[in-house]
Amino acid sequence: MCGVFMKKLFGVVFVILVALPLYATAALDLELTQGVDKALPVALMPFAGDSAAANVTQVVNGDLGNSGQFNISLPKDLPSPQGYNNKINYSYWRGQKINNVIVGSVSAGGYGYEIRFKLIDIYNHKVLLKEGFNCSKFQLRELAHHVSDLIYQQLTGVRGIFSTKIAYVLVQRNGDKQKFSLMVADQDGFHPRALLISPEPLMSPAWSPDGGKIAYVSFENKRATIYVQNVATGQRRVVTKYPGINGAPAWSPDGRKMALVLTKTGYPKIYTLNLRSNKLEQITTGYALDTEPAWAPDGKSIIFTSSREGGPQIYRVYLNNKKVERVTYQGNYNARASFTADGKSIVMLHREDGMFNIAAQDLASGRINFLTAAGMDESPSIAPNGSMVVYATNYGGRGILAEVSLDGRVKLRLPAQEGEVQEPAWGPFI
Amino acid sequence: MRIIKLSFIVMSVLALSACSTLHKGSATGASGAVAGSSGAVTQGLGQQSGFAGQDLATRQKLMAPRDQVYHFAFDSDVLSKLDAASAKAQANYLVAHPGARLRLEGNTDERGSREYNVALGWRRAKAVAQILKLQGVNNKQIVVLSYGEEKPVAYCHNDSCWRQNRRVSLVYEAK
Repeated sequence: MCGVFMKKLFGVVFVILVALPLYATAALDLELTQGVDKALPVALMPFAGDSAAANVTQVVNGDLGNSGQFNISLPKDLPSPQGYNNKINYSYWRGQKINNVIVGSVSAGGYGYEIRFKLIDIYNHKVLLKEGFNCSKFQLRELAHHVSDLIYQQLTGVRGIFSTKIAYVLVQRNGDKQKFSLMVADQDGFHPRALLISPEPLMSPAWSPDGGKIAYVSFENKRATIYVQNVATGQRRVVTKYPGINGAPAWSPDGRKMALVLTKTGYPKIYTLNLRSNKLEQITTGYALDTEPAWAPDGKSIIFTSSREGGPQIYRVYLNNKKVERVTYQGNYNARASFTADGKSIVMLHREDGMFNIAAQDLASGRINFLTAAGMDESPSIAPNGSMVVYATNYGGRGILAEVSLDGRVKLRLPAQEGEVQEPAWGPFI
Repeated sequence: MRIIKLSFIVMSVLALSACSTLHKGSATGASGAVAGSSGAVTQGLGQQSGFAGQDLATRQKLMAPRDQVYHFAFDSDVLSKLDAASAKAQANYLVAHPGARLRLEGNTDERGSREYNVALGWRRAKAVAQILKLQGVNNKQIVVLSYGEEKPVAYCHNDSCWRQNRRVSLVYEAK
């Protein structure tokens, strides 16, 4: 529908990325689906220093640019030097219609590097942020993400997600042999590490609210078992291994309970498990398929997928009286829903004309907003600040991860890996 | 000239009959190989039924204890007639051999939500378990689980693969 426009924009963005000093396996494969006309014009002066400075500049540029909130430019041919220690040429920047300028430097010193940066408000002649940090060379990328977080929060009033992690399942097939890996990577796809490798399927990773643990389903004993694994130590314990389904674990917002799916009655039903007392409580009843529980932010209700009226739809159950109400009506297939942080909307998998896409529904009005249109999208997971959704999609015949902003304006593909990538789970603020 | 022509015809006929003999032989050999291997699955038998005949395929499938694969239509948990008869044959064995253990693995095609597909695969595996139980099989002899879409046997993204992946696998853990 807007193919030509997309291509044009893609070309522009691509040039900017290529003009940057690239490192490692290159940046995100950026694809903006709509214009950046509403984005804030920000000039990012390349940080002064050696190749480490170039790396930091690239990370900050990628983070802020990919958020879709900013139109980042990397100025050249300036009338006067505009580095960290130079006098800011306000009239020049105003003439360039730039709202904010970022200046910084990276210098080797002590045991590693010192990073300093300033964020300047051109129209109000103000220094909004002035910070300095020390880090080892191994923490440089992490610190660059932190710089992006600080700038993002200062300019938007919303906490940045650039230091968060994403868990996902990586599947590699070689003939009849399969290898399933539970992976954790930075939110931009860098630095992937395996928490668990198994020849049998792994499913449904879910972060604890404090980010310290991940619950998941493993079939490693040819039975479904829910485990909780400590991310730092790798130690894990069995949560449930009842006969039949042990599936779809979801932590309560306070981290004390887990919602999950068991077939103790013969039918998949939603239960809550108190993680301290091990007390199990059945939440839904009947003969339908109930699965994919997700907690409301206040912890008082749970939304879930159910076949109780035919095809899968989203329902909400209130935990104090177990009353169930239907949430979705549009389309004959809605599944895998989760709440946005403010509890006012849900994001879910929605099928229309045989195409599976990611959609958001406003709970008050019931209005549905389509976020993706590739037709093979699934497993949406919302960033902790509610700005982006990560989901699994198919690109070039392979399963990869992609991100879309909650307003649908920005789309990104994460760097591809060897194998099929599925079931992303966006980690909390740490 | 006439003799040459005649001998050519004779040779052709011989060659043709040799061909058909060879064909028959290979078909028998193939089905024999399937019957002889342990843990054989019914998949190859469907292709051969044109040569070997429906009776052989049916006999093969009805033999117990034998690992099986039952396929399902889209969004269905109803067994075909042959598969239902075959499930009953397994049930008879299980009733006669209380030490035997059978695992029922439900599977779906790749379309839709993963955990919802686990629930759909569960419904299929339970449908087979229900047939076994109606025949008197003890609950303790059956393990029911569902992989949903996580264990496909065919990897393309169209109906030719989807129909192969919508299945319940019967795996004997003890015979």
